[in-house]
Amino acid sequence: MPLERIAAVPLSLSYQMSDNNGNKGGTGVNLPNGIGADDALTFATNLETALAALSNARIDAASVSLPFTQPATYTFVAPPESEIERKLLVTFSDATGRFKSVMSIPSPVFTLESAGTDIVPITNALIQDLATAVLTGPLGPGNGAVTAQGVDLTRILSAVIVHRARSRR
Amino acid sequence: MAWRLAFFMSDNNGHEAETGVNLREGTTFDGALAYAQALESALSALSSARIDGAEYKRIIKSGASPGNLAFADMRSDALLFYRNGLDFASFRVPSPKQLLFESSGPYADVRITRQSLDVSGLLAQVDNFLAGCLDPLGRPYPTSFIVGGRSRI
Repeated sequence: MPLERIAAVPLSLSYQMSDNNGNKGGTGVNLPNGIGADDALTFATNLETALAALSNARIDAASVSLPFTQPATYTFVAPPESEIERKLLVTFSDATGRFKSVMSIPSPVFTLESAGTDIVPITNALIQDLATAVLTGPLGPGNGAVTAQGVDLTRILSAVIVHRARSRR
Repeated sequence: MAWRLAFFMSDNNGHEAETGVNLREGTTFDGALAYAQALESALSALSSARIDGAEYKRIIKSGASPGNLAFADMRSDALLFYRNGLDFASFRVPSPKQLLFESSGPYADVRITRQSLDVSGLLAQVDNFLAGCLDPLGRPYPTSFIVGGRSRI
């Protein structure tokens, strides 16, 4: 069952603040769930300006967060062999290869592993499905994932399974 | 800067982990949901962990100028109380400025009133400060400030 967005669950708008003595804290409000992404950012900026007029503290950052939840029909139970300390590390890059982004997926299924190596071929059908979802997504080519700096990710470089931060490669 | 789509996952022992991708500026919330659903399908085939939920989040570096940092103290808070009819809500202001408070009388530097805000020229701003926002119960914030004061010194 796919993740869903529940209208009754509001967006969270929070501010991280600090003083010159290393004390940190914050405050925040909720925003209506029906608000658009650009409007939420505008709201965050305007409210930040108003908050700055009331407080002496430094406003380090603001964050807008929208939750997606599982429906009540989602009853999946992780099996006994599941283990989040095992990771599947999938590396993507932009067209030049200079900008990379690593996706760390917990508890990869054992069928991905080949005897004697932790490397998972990127031609693996499940890895290819992931690559399609990340690089293209339902919004089509040119609307895929980006690095944290906003650089387009266009290809998959590698996939490797790591056991408790050790690789047997 | 990008928006972060994060998935929260857990194994059968309840240990939790997170994975995710960054989505480009301009992706709508509906677009992010479609993306999350597609990526969830791929993740559920690759991982035996349970996907507990997801979050679409943007962190924005501040562009506002701070007040007088020499007087900033995050250990000090003020609460602003708002009311519309029977709806009542509060908002916490960390390290509140001195000019919010009464300057004389038994509640000097402790209480915030409509009069003290009027003197400092902040009444209209505080009255409408939270217009359009929702309180912790999901109700629209009242937009009529009634009283406030320090909650921690």
